[in-house]
Amino acid sequence: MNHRTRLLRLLMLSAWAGLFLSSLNACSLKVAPWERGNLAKQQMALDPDALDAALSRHAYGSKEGSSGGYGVGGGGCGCN
Amino acid sequence: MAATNSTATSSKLTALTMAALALPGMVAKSHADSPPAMPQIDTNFSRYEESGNRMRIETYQAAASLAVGDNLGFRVNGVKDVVTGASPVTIGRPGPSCKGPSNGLLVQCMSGASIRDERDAVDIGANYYLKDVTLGVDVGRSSENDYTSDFFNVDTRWELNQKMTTLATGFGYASDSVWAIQHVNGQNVREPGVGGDKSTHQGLLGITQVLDKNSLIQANLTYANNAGFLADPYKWALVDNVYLRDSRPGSREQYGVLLRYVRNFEELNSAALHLDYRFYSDTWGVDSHTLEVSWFQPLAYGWQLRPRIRYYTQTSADFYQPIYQTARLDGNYSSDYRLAGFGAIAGGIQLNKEFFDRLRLAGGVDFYERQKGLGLSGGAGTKLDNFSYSMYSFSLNLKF
Repeated sequence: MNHRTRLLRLLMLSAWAGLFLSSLNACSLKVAPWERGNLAKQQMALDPDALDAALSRHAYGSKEGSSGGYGVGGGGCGCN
Repeated sequence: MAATNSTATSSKLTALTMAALALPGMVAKSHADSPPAMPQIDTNFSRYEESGNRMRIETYQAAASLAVGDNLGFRVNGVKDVVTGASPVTIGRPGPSCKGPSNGLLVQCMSGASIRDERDAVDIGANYYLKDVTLGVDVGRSSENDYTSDFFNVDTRWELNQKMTTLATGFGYASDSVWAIQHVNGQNVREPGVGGDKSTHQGLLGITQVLDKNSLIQANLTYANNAGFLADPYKWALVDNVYLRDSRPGSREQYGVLLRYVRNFEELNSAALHLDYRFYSDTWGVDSHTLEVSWFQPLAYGWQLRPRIRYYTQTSADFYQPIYQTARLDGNYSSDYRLAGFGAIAGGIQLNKEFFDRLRLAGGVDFYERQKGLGLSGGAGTKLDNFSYSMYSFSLNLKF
């Protein structure tokens, strides 16, 4: 599979994700602020333990050929 | 929570809600779209150990965050890695110049247990909080005896649709230098003519959407453009029975799509399910799929248990081979195990306890198994590069 095919697949996946989220937004019921108690719980944060998540992703990124997705930033390393 | 609660409670709930809706920011950054309610210190110690007496890394990490006024928050983060052990150099033929695990025909050549390095990294960030928009900036430096990286990032988060939707953008830049160190008479000596500079530009577009009062979903698209010296100065490749230095294209574009789903189970003591899927593709020919499932289970008396499992599979880079029978026209050679086709299964568990809403202690262990046979994506590779690691970590979080 050449790079153009991979890129096309990636863009299609992104478009699908965007359309999916847009449709959810369009048809979802509103959640009032006083109904957001469960969403506010620590375990419902996208990364409840930021240092632990950073440590794990650093280890994965050092031993695998992939990185990204979760955010931008941070410096490189000479990890072997 | 009832709508008739006091203003103070509503304000606290709003702050907590914004924290729950936070978007991805910089590495190791707090995910809160409001200034920290009180000064906070986060510390973490971990010990990483690979199978076969390979790398051992002890990591000390600390972060402090502080609000100044109602709209400004600062955060400083420091990391120290102490690295010892050995690392794979290449795949070769059995012989005196190549020592390591062997299958009779091929050998994984190891560096010898002589590696000792320290990495020190620090970054300082600030967030400015407006009514619906948060602006963030972060600058930092990471240095080793054979690598330096200077970086900065900016990001924005825009809450709309009554804070049910959050849009995020991010941009990052890093300027790195890499070289090779030789040990001569107990001294670290820089190897002349090996290494170089590289630059990385990164971008992020993201959206987080509240689905209902118990679930939310996030989608991120990230892009990175790397240019310069992208090879590994310590690695070699066997080409037509001659060892040549690792050599890779001078540019690499990386794309990632991340989908995340978080759901609360009120009937299970408000346990939370986290599902992450990432698709990755780059111009070197590496494609990967990552699936991670985590479960956060609150228990009695402030205890919480968090098991997780992760599966990863990737194709090999176009120019990767364990060994090369003939020379390539483009001159790119790498037998780096990270560019091979393989799969990996990881899992771990963490137990933590919170005291007085101010102090949180946690301990956890993670295991990682990398095998050529676990890969579903295909591509070149060898079982000689199979390895595993374990990582033990302890953390302390304190609010003042």
